[in-house]
Amino acid sequence: MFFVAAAMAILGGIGVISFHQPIRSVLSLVVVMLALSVEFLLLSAQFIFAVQIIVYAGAVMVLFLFVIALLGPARELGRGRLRFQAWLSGLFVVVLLGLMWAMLQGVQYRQPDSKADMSVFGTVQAIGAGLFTTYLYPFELTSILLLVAAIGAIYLSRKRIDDL
Amino acid sequence: MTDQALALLVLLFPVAGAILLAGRGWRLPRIFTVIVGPGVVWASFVCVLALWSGKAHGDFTYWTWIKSGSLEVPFNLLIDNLSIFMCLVITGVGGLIVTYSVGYMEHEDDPSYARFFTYMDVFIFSMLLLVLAGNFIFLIVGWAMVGLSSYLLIGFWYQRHSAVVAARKAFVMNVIGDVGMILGTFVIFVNTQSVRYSEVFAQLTPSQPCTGICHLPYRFVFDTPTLELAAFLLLVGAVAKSAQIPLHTWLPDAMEGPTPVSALIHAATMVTAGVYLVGRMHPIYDVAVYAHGAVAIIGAVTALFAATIAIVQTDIKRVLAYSTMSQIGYMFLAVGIGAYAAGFFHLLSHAFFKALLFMAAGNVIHAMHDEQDMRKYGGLWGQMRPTSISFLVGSLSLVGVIPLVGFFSKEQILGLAFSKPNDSLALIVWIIGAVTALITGFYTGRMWWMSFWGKPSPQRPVEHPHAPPLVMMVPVGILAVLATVGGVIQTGALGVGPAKVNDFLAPAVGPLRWEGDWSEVVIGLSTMVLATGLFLAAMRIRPWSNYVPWAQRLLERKYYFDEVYDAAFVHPMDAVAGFALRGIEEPVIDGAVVDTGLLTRAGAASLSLTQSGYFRNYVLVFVGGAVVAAVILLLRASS
Amino acid sequence: MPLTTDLSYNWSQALADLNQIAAIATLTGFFLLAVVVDLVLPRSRRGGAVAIVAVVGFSYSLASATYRWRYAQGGPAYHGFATGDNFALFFEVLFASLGILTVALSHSYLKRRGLLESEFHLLVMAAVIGMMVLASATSLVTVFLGLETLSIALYIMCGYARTESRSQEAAAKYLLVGGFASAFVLYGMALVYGGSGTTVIPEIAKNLASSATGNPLLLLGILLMGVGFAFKVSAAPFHMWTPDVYQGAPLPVTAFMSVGTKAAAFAMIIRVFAGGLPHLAPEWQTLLAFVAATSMIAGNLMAIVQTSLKRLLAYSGVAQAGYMLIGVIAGGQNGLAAVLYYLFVYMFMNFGAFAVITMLTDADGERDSFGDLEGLGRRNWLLAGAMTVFMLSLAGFPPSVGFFGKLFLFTAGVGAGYTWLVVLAVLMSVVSVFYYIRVLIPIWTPSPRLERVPASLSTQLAIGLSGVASLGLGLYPTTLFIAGQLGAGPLSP
Repeated sequence: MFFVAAAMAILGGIGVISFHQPIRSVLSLVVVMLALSVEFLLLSAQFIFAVQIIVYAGAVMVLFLFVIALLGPARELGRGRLRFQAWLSGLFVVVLLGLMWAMLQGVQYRQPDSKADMSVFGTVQAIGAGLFTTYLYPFELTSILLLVAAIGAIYLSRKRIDDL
Repeated sequence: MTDQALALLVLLFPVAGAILLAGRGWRLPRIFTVIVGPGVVWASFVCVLALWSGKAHGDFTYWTWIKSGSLEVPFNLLIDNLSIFMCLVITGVGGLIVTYSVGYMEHEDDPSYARFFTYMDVFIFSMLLLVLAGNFIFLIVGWAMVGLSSYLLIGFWYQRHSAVVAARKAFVMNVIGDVGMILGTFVIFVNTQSVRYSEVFAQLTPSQPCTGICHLPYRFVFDTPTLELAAFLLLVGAVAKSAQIPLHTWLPDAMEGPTPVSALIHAATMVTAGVYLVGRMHPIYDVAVYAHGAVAIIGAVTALFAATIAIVQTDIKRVLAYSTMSQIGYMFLAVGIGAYAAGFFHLLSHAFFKALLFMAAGNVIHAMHDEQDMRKYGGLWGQMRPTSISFLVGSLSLVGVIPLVGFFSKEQILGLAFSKPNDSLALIVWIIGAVTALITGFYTGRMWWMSFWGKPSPQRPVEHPHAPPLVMMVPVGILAVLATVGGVIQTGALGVGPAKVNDFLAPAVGPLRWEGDWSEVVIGLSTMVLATGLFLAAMRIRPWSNYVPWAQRLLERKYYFDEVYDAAFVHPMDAVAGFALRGIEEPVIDGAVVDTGLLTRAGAASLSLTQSGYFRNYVLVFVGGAVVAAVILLLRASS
Repeated sequence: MPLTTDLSYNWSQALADLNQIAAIATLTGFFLLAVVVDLVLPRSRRGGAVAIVAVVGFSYSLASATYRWRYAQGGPAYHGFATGDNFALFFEVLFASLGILTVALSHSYLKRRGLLESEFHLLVMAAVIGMMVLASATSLVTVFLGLETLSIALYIMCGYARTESRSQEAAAKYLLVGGFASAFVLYGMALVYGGSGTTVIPEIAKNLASSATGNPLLLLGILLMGVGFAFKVSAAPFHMWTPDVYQGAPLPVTAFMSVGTKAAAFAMIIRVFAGGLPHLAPEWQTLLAFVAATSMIAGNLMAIVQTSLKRLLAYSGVAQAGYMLIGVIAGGQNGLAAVLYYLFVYMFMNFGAFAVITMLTDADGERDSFGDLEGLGRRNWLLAGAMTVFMLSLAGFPPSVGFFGKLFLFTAGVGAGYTWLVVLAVLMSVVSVFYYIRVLIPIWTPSPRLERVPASLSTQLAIGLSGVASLGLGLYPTTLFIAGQLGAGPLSP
């Protein structure tokens, strides 16, 4: 099951970058998101599973679709004139994957922590409690990160200097 | 005033001069430059004289920069007889040359005029720093700054392409030397944990005075191969700075600079820095016998090699340049066989007569409207009598005629090489040195007869040359007098009389370890007589190479050094840089955006043909790098 | 301490932990204040007000970090996600100073180019917060969060000149390649987590103490993180973005990121590699040695052929990253102290150099060719003199700071047995003299151009301060080096 979902995610990812019509790319992205949410569920993170589906696969993707629909589904233009580089990069990727494969021979994967209480793991309560105690600092940092991104988005999307 | 303050003043005067001239010189009347430029050098000279007469010596620390653990970098000046000796040469002869430039450079406009003296003062400062430095770090600073200021001075006429190329060549060669110096210092620092001369050398000297015959009077703190390595690396620096084989090709080209620059840098001071270095590092070279031998061999070979090239040159400054290389070769030879004081005496006498030759040649060039080809001179004896006489004095001194200073210094070196006991290397370099002395007689004669004797050449640019102004003639006259009578302080080559330089330098470089005998006097005299004969003969005979076409070509092409270097280093480097430019930079700059789809979508079409790299390229190199890194990591992990 | 939910964590503990990250907290407070100021003030007064808030914020942050450096006991906070140790404080001081310099520099530049001021300062503050978070992070999670905060702010800053295609392009490129590199880092972190069972860096070291070697997961993690880190310090062969982005981005941004990103990334490398994976040192040292050697060669050789000052400095930055990596590889107190020292002085010399070029900007746009420097010696002696100091420092001439920086780095390298790397570094730094001096030649060669180069007071202060620091810290290098040793203390065994 895990591997099926992983394969789906990878296929979706390839789809995102190889389709020439934006709308198909977005739909591929939905596939990626859904596959990822399945992975979360398999790792018994129910809450994240739900959030992933609702927020990403649902809201964000719908937003993407709206934007694309508004702008008109223009085909992306431009084909590579860099045949040679395409070959070379293909080669590099294969070699890199091969090397990673070679490195990963004989890995002993860690077993899950026996201490973790599986009955509350991944529940809304556990996550909520975690966010405001142990993970307070990263949680707050994330909020700053989002604030910065928001400021930047506002600045960049403003039409003229006089706006706002 | 204390010696400590005086020593600092020696350095500060030229700095102050340079700053004054750089900041304001070009706006004030020319007389300001005329006073400040040479004035600060003479002020330094006075300070050095005061140090000399006060018998100052000591290692003065002004500032401790870093003191952290084993690392200590002080700013200290080492005042001993060697550094005072060098300072006397630099500020004394340098002062005369800078004064001479007041006249020589008079045709420049005000800003250039001020710029010239700024550079000269910077150069004097760098050179003084080089010889006064009490530790390796400041030695390197001075070393690098000397290279830098010579670069500026050679390229002074930056409108001339040839001057810029020559300056760059000199800079690159010097930088190779700098690398050697830095690495050598590193080796020394890592092994002795100190950069201060006194501490480094203290680790090389015996803990208790040795009695009897000590062939190796030093205690080894680090093993000899390491010491040899350090000595060889330092030698690279010395060879580059002193234009010895194989890093010599910059010196003849450097004649593109103004003639006073040639006199100052390429005769009297900068090129002798290598000799100073070997002398200063003598505790190292005394132990590192192979490196020490290499010094002598390089010196001897360069002496002969440069002298043969000088035979066929026709540009008067190039003859002098090759003759300089040849004479520096003698100094290397001397310090290489351990006759340090003899080497330094030759340094002094060479500073006198070669600066004299350059400045007299400068008078001629000045009068001939910058024509430097000797074939177009001729017949100047009647028209420029004082200059001709000065040039003759310099030439005869270079040949080594009694009683001019050149005789005493050169014959002392040859005599000591001849009489060094139990040393076959010294004998070999003596043979080369003696042959060189004969060739020196010949090419010097050729130069003098060609330029000053005979009938005026029909191609001569000026019919009636004007006499040089007083400000140019006086320094020439002073040097002519010094080149004539300077020998009396050291008549060792005749086996009798005082050896003042030897005595003066003995505390710094150690006394001479062997005694000469009467045979060397005889040999010295006969060499001199033969050389003088060749000098006279050069009026009539042509060099034999004229009859042997291939030899002539070989000499005219300067043994093909430039060509070989071009083929071996310059062209491959050009190719690599060109490839980098074409293959990596230009696509980045001129290429079109294809892959930044984001932008295409945003409608920024104007982008596509502006400067921009293929995003794909980046990722390609990125992943390629990752692959290499992965391979390296795997190899490391599996080993 | 496995990270389980700690329900006993209460308000007072959180406040106590806040002390450990006082510099970050202060700056964040002022950042929020600046956002509010930006919203409420009329447009004409916004820019100056936000600039003032930013400078005050940076100053407070600087003061609190300095205070804690001298008087407070640093330690872990927030369940091991952050720390207030000397290493973090050293970098916090660095970043706060950089922030002040950047605001001072950009003020007049933005006005000259007609760009909005307030948002720019907000982004500078945000980027500095990201850098500080990175420096004080002791968990892979916070490392990544800091990295992203910093990066996102910088992506936007690169594209700040919105009407200019170059700037837009720089932003897009940086974003894309940056995202690529972030993916590498993140994957590497995931693998390290998989191999060690924790994200808290000191815990990683503890967990691996017995069973580190031979675990391929960690090896791969090091590879991927190393590649991503090398990208961030703009080390070859992961440097390709540097010249383009440096050239395209507005000059104050280039000045800021050339120093800030590099310092933050070095903080990250040291924290993760030296702090978390000391038992795998041979592996990551090999990787970094490769990167350092390539950077020194590629950076120096490519810098020689440049005609744009910005690109020249970009390649010089690549080379400098190579030198600094030597210190990281050498490790130990002296090696790391050398890196810290170098980063601190690099701030003055590199920022200063970019600041001088910034001042050449005129109404037509930025000026960064050699020809634009002609006669600078007479057109503005302060800029010319400062530029001379910066170039000589970067080249490593004594008695400038750059010389001591290199001296410390190279001695540490030789001490750790990486002689070949140091020999290469010496060779290459001698090569570098060539192009640094090349910058100085047009400045001091007489030229018919005599029109004055104007510089505002704040900029003159920034440049003057950098120049004085480059010389002054060269005359008294010991203090800063000792500070570097103290800063390196927590991470050197």
